[in-house]
Amino acid sequence: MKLADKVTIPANVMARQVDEETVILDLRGGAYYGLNDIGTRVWQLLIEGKTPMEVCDSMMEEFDVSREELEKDVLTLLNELECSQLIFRA
Amino acid sequence: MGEAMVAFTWVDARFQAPVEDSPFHTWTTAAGTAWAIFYRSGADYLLRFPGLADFQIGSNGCWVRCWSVPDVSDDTVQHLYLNQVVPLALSRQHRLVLHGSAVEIADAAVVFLGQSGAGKSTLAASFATNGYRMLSDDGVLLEYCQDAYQVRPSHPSIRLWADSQAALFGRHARLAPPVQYTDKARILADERAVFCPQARSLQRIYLLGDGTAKSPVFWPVTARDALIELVKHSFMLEVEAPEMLAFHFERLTALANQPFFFRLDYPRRFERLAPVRAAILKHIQR
Repeated sequence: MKLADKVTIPANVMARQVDEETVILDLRGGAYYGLNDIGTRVWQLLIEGKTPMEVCDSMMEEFDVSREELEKDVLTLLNELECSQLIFRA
Repeated sequence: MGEAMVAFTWVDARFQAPVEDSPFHTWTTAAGTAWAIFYRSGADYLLRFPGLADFQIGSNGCWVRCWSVPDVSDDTVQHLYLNQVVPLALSRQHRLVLHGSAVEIADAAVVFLGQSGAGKSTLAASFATNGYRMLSDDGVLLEYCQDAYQVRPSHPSIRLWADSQAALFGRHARLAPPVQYTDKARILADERAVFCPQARSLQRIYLLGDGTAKSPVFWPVTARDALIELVKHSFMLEVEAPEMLAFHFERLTALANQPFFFRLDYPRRFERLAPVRAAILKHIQR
């Protein structure tokens, strides 16, 4: 996954707030992933159609973190979600 | 379980011709072979059990037509229909069916969920043969009515492997005729395995562990973990339509947030089922 990639979320993958965590679930295959606050914000921005680069641009204004660290964390998360087939590269 | 909510027609016997369209979903056995293949048939669905039968399910889940493969017995077709097809058809009626077993304890429903082979049916049957009543086996139909969840009663039978059947019933089980795709026996309700014909309010959902515990042990389940387990153990025919999936997910999330869920593990020994039942009865009263 690269920052410039476009990301697709399949229709059978959904997310809900449960307890204090956001849970992403593949309703078809059963794969799941739990997101913390930062992961939840990444997911919200992906749903809006933002690329990973645009996600980082938005989050730089919201979180007190270095750009390098943020990009690394966002790409790590997206790669894990892609491995679980919860997102795909468009 | 809910079979009265679906109109069934056995049309004819015919060989299974190749289907032109690609399937949209497949269930596979542990060995990796296709157990059930799901196709779209216009607005309806075609569910193929290779070598056994084809079932056409209406788009609204209210009717099913069946073509059995020649020489497949009526009992085999009925067994497939009740255990596999009816839960899927009901899911298209926006009903929630879980893959589990349920018993009546103190006028309430206790449900057991778990992987295949986890012991759901055996545990439920051990209650049924010791003074309690079965509600359902293999498919648990849950309804939300007047601010409460209810478990509806199912077809009055339990499916058990030979060792469980021998341990719980000896040679006295009233058996349905054998079927061609499984060695599991279907034991019909009688005075030894009594069924409850009324719906009961849901009190507990126990997620069965892997049998490594040395004695019965319970621990609470977070809503997040309950939701994950419900997704894994719920029947769902339409796995692509976003509005259907969203509705299903909302309903499972609402259920997962209820205080019903606990994990339960215990040693899988027939001679240890009595203390397991006692532990469950004590846990329910907490």
